[in-house]
Amino acid sequence: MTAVTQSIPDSETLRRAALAASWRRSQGVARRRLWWRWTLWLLPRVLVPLGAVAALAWAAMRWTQPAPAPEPAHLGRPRTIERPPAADARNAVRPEPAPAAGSAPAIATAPPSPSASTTILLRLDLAPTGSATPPINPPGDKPR
Amino acid sequence: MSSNPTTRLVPVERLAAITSLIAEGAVFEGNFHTAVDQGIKIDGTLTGNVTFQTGGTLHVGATGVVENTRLEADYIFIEGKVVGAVIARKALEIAGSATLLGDASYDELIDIHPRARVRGKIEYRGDIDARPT
Repeated sequence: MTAVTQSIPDSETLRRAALAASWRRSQGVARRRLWWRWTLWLLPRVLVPLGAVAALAWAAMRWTQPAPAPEPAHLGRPRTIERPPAADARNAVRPEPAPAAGSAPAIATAPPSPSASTTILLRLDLAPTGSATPPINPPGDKPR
Repeated sequence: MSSNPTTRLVPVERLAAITSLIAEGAVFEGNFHTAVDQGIKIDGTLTGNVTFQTGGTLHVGATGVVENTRLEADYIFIEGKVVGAVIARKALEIAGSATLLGDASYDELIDIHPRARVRGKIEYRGDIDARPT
């Protein structure tokens, strides 16, 4: 059995080592605490006013920004009249039946108007399925 | 010992010559008294008085807390928290990480960091009308 001999540090070495370790720990804690105190002091005095000034400047820039130029009148008008989408197959616009040979067309084509699509939809809704489409505006009919 | 080149009121030689240490995490209750010119550093908690009849260097580390105390020494360097009276016969230095709740008096030199927290009276014990030599 071999005894491991280790030299016991003398008091002076121990004191120096303890003091050195204490210095290292103390410096770290002191630095952190001081940094935190400066931050707490700086935060309301510098950073908050800086943020407020930046926010005010941003708001002022947005306020004084020139409004976008209005579009020309001919560009503002829609180019096409959109039809409402067909909800189902029953409401879908069906093509006009081809006129019989030698007979006059049953329906006079109405001039295109913004309400044309609405008219067509109403007519389709009220017409019984499979029957001939009654004329809405016969050629000789006068408005009442 | 310290690589900090900052000039201190408490000489580095005095801080390096400290002979007693209350380590961080240790709690000491009672009075520490000596008539020899020694030094003590407090990193733990001490409740009681520390008095050096002659000379003496007292260093309260950043983790040190001294409560209900009366500290009296030639050189006193506070980085931690002290609750009580402090009497420095030569130099008193209060670091930016320090908190002192109590009165402090000194005979020659004092240095208080701008971020130090002190609540109490600071008294110069020397001749207030003495002409500079």
